[in-house]
Amino acid sequence: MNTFFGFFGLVGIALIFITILTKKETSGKEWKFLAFFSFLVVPVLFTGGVINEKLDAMQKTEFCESCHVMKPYLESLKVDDDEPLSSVHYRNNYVKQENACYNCHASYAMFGGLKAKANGLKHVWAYLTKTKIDSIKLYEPYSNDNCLHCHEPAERFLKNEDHNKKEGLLAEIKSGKKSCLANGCHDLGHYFEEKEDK
Amino acid sequence: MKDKKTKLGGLILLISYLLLFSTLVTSNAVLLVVLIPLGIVLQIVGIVFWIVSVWQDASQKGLL
Repeated sequence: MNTFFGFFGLVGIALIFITILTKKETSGKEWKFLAFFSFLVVPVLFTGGVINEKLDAMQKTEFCESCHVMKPYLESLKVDDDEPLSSVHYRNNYVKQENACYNCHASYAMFGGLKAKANGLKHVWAYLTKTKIDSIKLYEPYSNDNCLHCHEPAERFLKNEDHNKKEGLLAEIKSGKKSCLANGCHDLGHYFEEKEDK
Repeated sequence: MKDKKTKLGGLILLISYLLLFSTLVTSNAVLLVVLIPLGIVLQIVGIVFWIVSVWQDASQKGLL
């Protein structure tokens, strides 16, 4: 728990009690000033702080892992194998380990974070209403943009032989016409214990 | 009447504080998804109650 917000919340609660208890029929300017702070300023700041804090927490891998259906995916990040992209990125810290799921699965586009949150709501709904979840699939094919966000400026990507074996291939990859994953070029994201692709 | 509205607004705000407080001690996705929106909605309702009481107070005094 964030002690600062905890303390701030307690101050807010105390202010509301003080404001209500000191209310009189002819309350003066001081009371109005107090009410303005305890009913508007402090609650709004507290809520803003909590939301900000929790949005950060929602980007952490532990948060994704809190739904047990995601546990195999988290475990697959630690598989000692240089083939699966997720494991390679996670184990070598190519993406920040504590935010690994979010870094690769939230789009870097303008409303990417918002879309990820909306999809997260769908996940929670499915988690609460479905008695059995058969398989977990992406809503749409994995976007090249998520890979290119980091790899595009890299010389290793730009000068890679395979990326330049055909004229215009690099442009097709950059525009998303040719998927990094769906054309058999790069292996699928997650491997599980029995090395099954998912 | 406006006094009642202030008290009710305060009570609703207290509940919203408690809900948002509880989000600080949990990282469970389901709880967060329920508690955060509920806390925000209650907070807005509490603030609206207070604004209405201020509005009524001001109109009774002929300030509006």
